[in-house]
Amino acid sequence: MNINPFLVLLALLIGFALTWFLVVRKVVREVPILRPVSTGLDAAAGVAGVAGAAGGAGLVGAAASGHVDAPEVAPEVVTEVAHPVAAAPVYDWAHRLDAAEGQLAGASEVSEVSEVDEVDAAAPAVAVEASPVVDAAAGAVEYADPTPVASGVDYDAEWANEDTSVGLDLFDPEPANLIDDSDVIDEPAPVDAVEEPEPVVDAVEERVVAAAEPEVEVAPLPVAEASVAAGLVGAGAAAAVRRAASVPAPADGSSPEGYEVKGDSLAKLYLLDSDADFGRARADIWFTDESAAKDAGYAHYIRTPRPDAAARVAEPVVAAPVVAPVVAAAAVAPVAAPVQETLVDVPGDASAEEAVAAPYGPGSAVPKADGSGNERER
Amino acid sequence: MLEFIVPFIVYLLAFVVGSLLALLVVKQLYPASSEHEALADLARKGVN
Repeated sequence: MNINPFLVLLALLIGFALTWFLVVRKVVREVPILRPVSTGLDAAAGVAGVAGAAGGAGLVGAAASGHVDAPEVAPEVVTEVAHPVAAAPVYDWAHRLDAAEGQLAGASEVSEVSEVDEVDAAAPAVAVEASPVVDAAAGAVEYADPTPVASGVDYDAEWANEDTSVGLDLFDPEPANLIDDSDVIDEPAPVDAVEEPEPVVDAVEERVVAAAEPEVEVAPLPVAEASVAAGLVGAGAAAAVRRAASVPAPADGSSPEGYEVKGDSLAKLYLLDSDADFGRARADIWFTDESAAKDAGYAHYIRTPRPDAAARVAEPVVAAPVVAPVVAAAAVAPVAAPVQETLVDVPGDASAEEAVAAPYGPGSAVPKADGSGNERER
Repeated sequence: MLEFIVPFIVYLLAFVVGSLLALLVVKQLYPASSEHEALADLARKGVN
């Protein structure tokens, strides 16, 4: 009964090594991606901080004018004020699951992908009737506000943009794209004042005079003048151009006189009368012409038919009007989205039954009428 | 017979102890071993 201590140690080491490799291999296989996705979570978790930062970033004056311009909120600010945990690296798949989880639970997650013809009318309405906090936070709050999920989600676009939109889904680094133009448009428009902007010096002098001679009654500055005085000349003028060139869509869905281009303010896309999907598209803003839409930062929506569209029996779906301009560009230029082509591709011999079961590509399913996910596909 | 069994069990125990040690170390190095665990982690931290 002689026990060799070296053999005992050897057995211990072998047990350690084998278990280590097995477990680590399993862990690595199950948790393949360890890259930080803090940007997206910043927008989701640091919402309260964003509003505070907007106020603290010198926007008080602009907010007092009743008109806040997007570029005033720097993306860095948003990142810095985010939840401290969000800055730490987290697992990518946690983000990837967001959409599916939200669909299943019927959560009030902002849907970054919407179908033009099936989007619930309540979604843009909420965006338009945003609270003043939304104005102060320059759109970042808008994304985190509980907004009804659009009734349709284009899984193609979601998966196709997976690599690039981990953060972009919830947070667009370009602040201008976070602004919902419609709330700017809804404001009473002092167009004349903006078209003939009073020089900054004059505005300041007027204020000085008012301060020096309190008995002189000075009318409060119009919004546009206040913006000019606050150094927001460029952005304010751009907003004025938008006001003149676009109108919010009437509630009855009719087209306003003289406006021929449909715009989707959520997706920042526009459709021309000659587009195939023009009739089906839901507009929440109308432009006078294409150039006006482009000036407002909208991109032309062009549906790219799937290669195997003829083989599908699924209902027609308008694909990928999405929030992020990067994504929109991918939809406009099919060459720029090779990933989408790869992911949505269904084998050529796919039967009609398979096409119905997975209309958006392998593993996809048609959402239920209430927007929730298909249990079977989970 | 006993002379064979006892050392065998001792070596086996050493193997098991080594395995448990490795499990503990891995658990410390990798906070989550599955998506479910990591999501639960996120929820606990208040991120998700």
